[in-house]
Amino acid sequence: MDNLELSRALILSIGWPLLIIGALYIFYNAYNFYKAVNSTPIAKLVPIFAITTIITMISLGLVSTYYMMTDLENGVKHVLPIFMIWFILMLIILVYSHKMDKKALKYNDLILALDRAKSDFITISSHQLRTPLSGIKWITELLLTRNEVSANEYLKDKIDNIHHSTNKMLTLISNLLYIVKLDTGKMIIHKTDIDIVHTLRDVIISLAPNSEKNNQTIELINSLTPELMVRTDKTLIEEIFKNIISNAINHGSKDSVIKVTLSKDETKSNHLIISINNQGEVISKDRMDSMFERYSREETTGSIGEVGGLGLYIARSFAKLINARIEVYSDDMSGTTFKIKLH
Amino acid sequence: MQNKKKILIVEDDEILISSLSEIISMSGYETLIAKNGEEGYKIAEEAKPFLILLDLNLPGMYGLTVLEKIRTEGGSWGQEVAIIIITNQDPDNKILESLEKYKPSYYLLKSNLNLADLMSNIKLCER
Repeated sequence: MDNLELSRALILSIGWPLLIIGALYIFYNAYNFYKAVNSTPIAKLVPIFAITTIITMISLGLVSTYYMMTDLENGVKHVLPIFMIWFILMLIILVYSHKMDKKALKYNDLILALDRAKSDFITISSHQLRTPLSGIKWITELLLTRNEVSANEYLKDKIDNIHHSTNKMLTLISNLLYIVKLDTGKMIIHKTDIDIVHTLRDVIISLAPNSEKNNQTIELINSLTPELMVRTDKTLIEEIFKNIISNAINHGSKDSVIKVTLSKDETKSNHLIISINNQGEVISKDRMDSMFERYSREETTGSIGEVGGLGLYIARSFAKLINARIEVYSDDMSGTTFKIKLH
Repeated sequence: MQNKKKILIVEDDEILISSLSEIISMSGYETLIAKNGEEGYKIAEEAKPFLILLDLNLPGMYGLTVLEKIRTEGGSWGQEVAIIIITNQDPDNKILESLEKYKPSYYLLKSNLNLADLMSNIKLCER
């Protein structure tokens, strides 16, 4: 075997394994990158880039092999520099990507720390805000019981507005705290036996001032027993009811009736269904999914809802935690109905 | 004249104290006020109110410790006295454990609470 044949054998025996390892490495990196960015537009480019690179590499390998087999002298002479460059490039890429991985890990830690700091900031500031806001809420409540206030329509109206706005702000703070807990997995589920009829009635009473503003009435229709004990988390189920009924109040027509119906699932009789129906705008198919996203915007006005566009997101997230389902139906005839299925 | 029933408010925020004591006095009870945990426990032991409104984030002795001390060291009165926790803290596992053990009558979040509802809860404790 002369020197040329030896060089060709060396290039082929080192080149092809190196090429296959290189292709696998590119594939592996592209896959990791795709997983990290799969919700962004760049994600579509990643597989295209990876496949193109791998095809180019293999084609070049095949052409080089064919060239060296058919024309030993020229083939080796021309392929050898390419092979050397390829070999050095692979080494550089390996070393560089190793460094990048380390950096990425460091940044990842930093991002996690920042995220924790953000959550802590929201939690602490929200707790701190709750006390003075509770103060305002209670003072306005006391003022509204005074004769001198009820005698003065202007004053009564203004104080009522402060009371209403403070309540809205407190709801928003609670929602932000829930979001942080959901994000950090700190939502505690504490199941006890609760009377679902009583719970629903309490929620309806607490929301009555809001529905009265729109001249709506909330009707509780219970064809089942007057008491219905269910083992679930009281806070979570109350929040689900509160958010869905509030949504019905906000989107229901003025002077209408919001019907809250308790029934058993026809197919699975041990399952309870709480339906909340309102008359008003019909919800389009697209909107049915997007309205459960966080910070969701109103379809008609494009504005973020009363409590930060978080109500339905929280309702659905909480439903998942207590193994419940929320379904939506909407048409011209029967209006919009949210069904909460408790398992 | 019949003695008014006593309610002890253990709370460190002046503005909240003023609203709470106003509504409680208006409803015909005598109010006692403590602005930290130690004071709260001391007044509770001496005056033996029929109900205690207890905040959790208190300077000095933490609210849950006050609850524990009343229940474990307060004799038969301590075991029976109605305690309503009013706080802005969402219950975590430690709080839930304490609630299970020392059984306050209610655990109410100030931010969700109307004074009228608080008074209905107090009335229920009176039965």
